[in-house]
Amino acid sequence: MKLLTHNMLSCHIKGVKNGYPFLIEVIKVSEHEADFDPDFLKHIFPRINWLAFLQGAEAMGCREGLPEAPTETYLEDEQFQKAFHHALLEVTLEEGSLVCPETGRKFPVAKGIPNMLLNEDEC
Amino acid sequence: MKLKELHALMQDIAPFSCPKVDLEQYPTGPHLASRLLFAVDSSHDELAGRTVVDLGCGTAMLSIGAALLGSRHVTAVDIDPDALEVAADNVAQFEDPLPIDFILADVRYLSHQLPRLRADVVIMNPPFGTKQKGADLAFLRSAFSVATTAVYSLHKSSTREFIAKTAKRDLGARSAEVLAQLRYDLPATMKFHRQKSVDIEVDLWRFEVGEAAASRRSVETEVCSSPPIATPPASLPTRGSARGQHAIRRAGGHQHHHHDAVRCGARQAGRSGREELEVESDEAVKEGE
Repeated sequence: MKLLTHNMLSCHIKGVKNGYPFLIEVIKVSEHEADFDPDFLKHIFPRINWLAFLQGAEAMGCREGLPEAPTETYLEDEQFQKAFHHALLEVTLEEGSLVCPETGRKFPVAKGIPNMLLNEDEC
Repeated sequence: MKLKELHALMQDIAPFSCPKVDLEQYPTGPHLASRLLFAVDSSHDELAGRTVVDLGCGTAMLSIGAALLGSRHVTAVDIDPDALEVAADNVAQFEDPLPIDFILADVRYLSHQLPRLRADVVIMNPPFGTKQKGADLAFLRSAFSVATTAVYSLHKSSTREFIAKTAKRDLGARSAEVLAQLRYDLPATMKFHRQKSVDIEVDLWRFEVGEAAASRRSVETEVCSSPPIATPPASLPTRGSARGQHAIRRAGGHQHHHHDAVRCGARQAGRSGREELEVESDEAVKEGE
């Protein structure tokens, strides 16, 4: 699971009001090179919840070079592009958990795959 | 990329080790998948440089194809951990890492359980709803809650009118268009001739996501019931044996289809549409070799 995916996951078990963003418990992280595409970064940037992204990047150890509150003009800066690209698409959570910020419910991530299935009494 | 190249690259993607009837795990061969993706790519060029979600990804055939055609990020969702294990192995076979993330989740309740999931394009080969009534529509509804631009989906040709009506009236599709008619593991045909067997003739749809669908996302609530997943029987192959099969497959061509069909035979009570599909695809393979 990369941070782009993490940005779109949330906890919706019965009764939860603020199940976003997931806290990340890291056991193992891996890195793989991804095609660098500045146009794609411009395309995806407006859809990214930056606070969730920063929090995730912090947990995954790839926060470096990511500003607190970037604006669209940052997307012209190569240093920013590189840091954004790396944290968004190249760092994968292999083993660990996604933890609901409200209830503490843990969704395990094994072999890179988050298990988001809910139990019967949770939905 | 040419169709031939795409097909060649997808040739070694492993099928389900033992398809589950309840989940309607039809074997989507590289033949069908590459043609489907090529039709998507050449008709609207909506894969390259975009994000994709593959719903009910199974062994990730479509996800891999989308990534090969230049999608920058693919999220592949399936409810079956066994299928995802095969899928992850399939992705790992490519030397250049493919930008694919998997999520284990119930596609039918996605708009309720993972309402933030988005992608420019959704591609999917959903269950046809023959084993679980309404599963095809539940998938389509979820697809419309995820896609911001377009949904590409396969549906039985026999449901064409119904799908068109539902997509436009209930799901808020701005347009609904059949791009091609395909037969399982047979070449796509752009001619809409009368079909002999409704079980194997499918339409490749492109739905343009309308604004109505986008606004409904926020208010939509769905009742969640426990997913009727078949508990895998003890005889289900483990990771190890699936690998073994893989080796057989590599060495001996496409014998695994037969092998699987025989081994899974006991669980296929009655003649299902899926069985016919399997026979069909076996024959297709034989013809091809």
